[in-house]
Amino acid sequence: MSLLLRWLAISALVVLAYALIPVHFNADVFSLLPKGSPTVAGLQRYQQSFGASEAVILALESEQPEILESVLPEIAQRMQQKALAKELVWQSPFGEDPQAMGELLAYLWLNQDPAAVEQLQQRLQGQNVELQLQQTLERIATSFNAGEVAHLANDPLDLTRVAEKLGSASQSNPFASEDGKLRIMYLGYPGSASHYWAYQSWLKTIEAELLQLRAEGLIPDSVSIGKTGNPVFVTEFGQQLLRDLSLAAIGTLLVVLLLFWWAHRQWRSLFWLSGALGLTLAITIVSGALVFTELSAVSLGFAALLMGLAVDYGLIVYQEVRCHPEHSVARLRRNISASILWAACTTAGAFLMLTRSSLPGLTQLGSLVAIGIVVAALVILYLFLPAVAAKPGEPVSTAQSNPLPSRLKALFTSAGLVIFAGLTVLLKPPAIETDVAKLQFNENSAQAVHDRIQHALAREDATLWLIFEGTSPAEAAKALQQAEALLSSASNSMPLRPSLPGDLWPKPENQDNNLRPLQAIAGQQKTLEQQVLQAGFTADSLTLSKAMFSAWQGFRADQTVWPQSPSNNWLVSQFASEHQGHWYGLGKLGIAGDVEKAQLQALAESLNEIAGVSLVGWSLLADELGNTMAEDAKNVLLPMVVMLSLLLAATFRHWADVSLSFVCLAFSLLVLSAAMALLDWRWNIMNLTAVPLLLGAGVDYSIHIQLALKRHGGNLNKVFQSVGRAILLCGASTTVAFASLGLGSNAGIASLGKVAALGIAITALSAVFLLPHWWLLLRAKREDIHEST
Amino acid sequence: MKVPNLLIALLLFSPATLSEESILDKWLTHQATIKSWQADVTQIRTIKNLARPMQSEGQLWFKQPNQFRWQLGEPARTVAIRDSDQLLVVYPRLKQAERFPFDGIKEPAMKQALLLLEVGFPSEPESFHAQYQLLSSTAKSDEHKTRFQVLELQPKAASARKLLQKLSLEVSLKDLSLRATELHFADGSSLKNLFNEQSYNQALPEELLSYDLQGFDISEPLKAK
Repeated sequence: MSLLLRWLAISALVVLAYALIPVHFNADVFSLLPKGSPTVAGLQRYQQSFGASEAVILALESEQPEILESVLPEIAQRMQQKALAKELVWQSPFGEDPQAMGELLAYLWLNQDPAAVEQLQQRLQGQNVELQLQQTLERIATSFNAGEVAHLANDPLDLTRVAEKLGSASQSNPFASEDGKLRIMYLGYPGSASHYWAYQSWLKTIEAELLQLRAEGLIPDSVSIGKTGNPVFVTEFGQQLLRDLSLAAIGTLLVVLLLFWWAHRQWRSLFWLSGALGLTLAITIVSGALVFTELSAVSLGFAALLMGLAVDYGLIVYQEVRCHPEHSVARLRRNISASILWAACTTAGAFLMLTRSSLPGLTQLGSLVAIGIVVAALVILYLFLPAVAAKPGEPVSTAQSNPLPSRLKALFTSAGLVIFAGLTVLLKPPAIETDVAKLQFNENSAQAVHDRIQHALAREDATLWLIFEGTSPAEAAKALQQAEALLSSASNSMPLRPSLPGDLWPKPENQDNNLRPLQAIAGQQKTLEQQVLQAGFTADSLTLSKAMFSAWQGFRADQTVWPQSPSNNWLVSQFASEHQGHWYGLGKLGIAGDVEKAQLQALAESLNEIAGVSLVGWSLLADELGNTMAEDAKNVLLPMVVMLSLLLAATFRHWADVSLSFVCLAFSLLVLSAAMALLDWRWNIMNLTAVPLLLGAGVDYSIHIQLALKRHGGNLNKVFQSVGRAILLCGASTTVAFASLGLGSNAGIASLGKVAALGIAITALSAVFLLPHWWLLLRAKREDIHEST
Repeated sequence: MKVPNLLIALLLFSPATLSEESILDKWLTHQATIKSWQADVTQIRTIKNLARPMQSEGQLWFKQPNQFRWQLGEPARTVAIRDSDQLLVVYPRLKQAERFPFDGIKEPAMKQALLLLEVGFPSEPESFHAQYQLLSSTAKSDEHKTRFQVLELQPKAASARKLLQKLSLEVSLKDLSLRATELHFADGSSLKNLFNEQSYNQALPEELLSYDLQGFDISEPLKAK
């Protein structure tokens, strides 16, 4: 098969694979956080399961509350007309809905202690009702609280007493700040597909409609509108990530091609190299889609890395072709394939070790780079090499002088750097950053809106969330009760402000006991109505009571009762959710003053010991990340070192060469640590993964250099011209690849990019300028080599 | 059903006013000269869900600049005492008391309620005009042929009208004394205060403007918000 035909056939296969294998991208923020962490799982549960997790929250702000009063109905009406929201909530669900309020109150009575229901029964029997009505009338006549007067006039039997414990939460508008200058509106997601692209499309439609309302003058300029909620977080996160990583991939591709052009000035070869890189990327993505079914947006960072790494092979191969234009393709491949394939295996192996990381995005990234690097090696050897060997450029003269330092200078430089870097690291040991907030995106408007809403609307300063769960509401209720007891006792020593849904969570046992007596009360409805009317109330005063009686009659004994009206459904969704037969509940924990970190950690541990209870919060995650980082270092680095040892041993078959590779890597890491200390960079959960990446990518350089030293009998000129120069280009391209990530808007990924870029540059320079002299020093006596400068 | 929990002591409102704007201004000027005031009160509450109006008797004491005591029932069932920092509502029979400190109150409705309290004893006509708009002014006579002016006012702020739609003041044209106030609430209820046996600028015992709360269960209803 001719070369062109081979290229076309493989490209056609890749296109066919894309047609057959769907490629999905997932832009979940949690792919940046450790998997298996209970805190992360809890935070994920908090974000995705409660408070209408698929709702967009519009935050409308104006200095004139009256304007917001008029704007909100306009927005609500338009969103409903255009079917842009499954449900729309923007005012107190009970304000105008006595049926919903009645159902909620009836539900609260159902969950009460049976003794309280017994008291209610007695209070509503015979003469007692008249006494109750007289008390209500007296209170109406003499109360100075107009709110109470209005309340009692609508509840002559004092049935709403049951909601006293809910306090202001049941009475104030949860959708408005106290000064009325901030109002919020929930828009439920009307679609069925819950992913980045669907959310993005929905948000665009909402934004277009809001712009239209502004254009029509229905939303004045003085009203600002912010958006938050899970779909907004997912979209904002995904957009920035995709933008960063796409720019990084394209930027890297352009820079590596420019580097190649600068080094070789060969359009034809440049064309084939672009084709080889494009094909490698396409094959890797489709292979990734086949393996993972869904690709995390974080893992798309692989594209930039792969460009940077794959071009290395192209450069080395092309350099070899130019050095030996007289050799056949088969001969060239034989000469170079050992170096390329071993390098690909070690790099792939190193990246595969990332699958042991606890960060899901990075494990996928590791797998994709590993797949891609092997694909790249094969594409370069079997498609690129024959293409460029057909018409090689100007031969490279190995007689040219090289910029390598003399052995003495190299050894002095090595020793000087070791001493300087060692002292720097000793005096300023590596610092570790565990604050997750510092790894966020630069632009985080959804978070800013969320924080503003919390500040303006939150009746309590909750920073931690208590998640309780069970296979049934009853089991979850038990977990909640234990947590309540623990928090109650902990409140004696800490300024805690727990806000738990104990009064709203169903208590199946109480429901079983209370249903019959409450239905009996509802059965007396006619008698009670007559007594109320005789006391001087009108029929309207009984609207709420009737709604309660009706709810009691409708509750079923054969299942756990939850409120059912749309308004109450919204309320319940704020603290309860069910997923595949498992029940989850949400409480909040505010801290009213200063609490020591250790004290809080101890509280979290005690709570987490209760079956089905977990205390989560970003502040707790920061502490957990420290442990995760240590764990990751152990899980990834140790096996990686073992695997690299085996691969290097198989490559070199001599302990000295293996040791030199490790010395080169250790030297580079030491210098990197010193440089980070001087630059005031800190290690974090993201950039710590640069270490395995450096081991994976950096080990290549030592392999190429040492194999070239062997091949050329220690001739430094030849080594530099054939491989050293290529490695400098490789190092530059990989540095560019990582540095492009460093320019991204996510602080975590950017820190990873910057550390890896600096590390690769140090590793490449060490491998090219220092390693050959170390090798000569160690191997000169044993090998039949000659040093030529 | 709306349950606005914030409208504390609207009943304490007792603004004062002769015809048209000038009568209102004259009344405001007159009110500003009062050092202290006391009166017997007959309060009639017409509540939306009650078939008949409810009537209570009580007393009111006021002292410049902003202190007052209002009590309803005989013996007193509820007592409201206002000083510069708070409003205290006491339920003697129940041995309960509620404090409403003025600082930290942010909700517009509650602020409006407090403004109403202050407007009962206006010291500056300008601020009164900033808050209320005069809707009508009608001269009337009672069965004793005593002439008085009925001034109908409306809160200017829309948020305030959500609570209080309208208020009426009955001002004697003889001596600019306040005969009655009537508040009309958004839910259709209304509250009328008839002032009798009025006396001005007499020394008020200090103990009237405080309350011994020993043994009382004291709460701060707004603290939870």
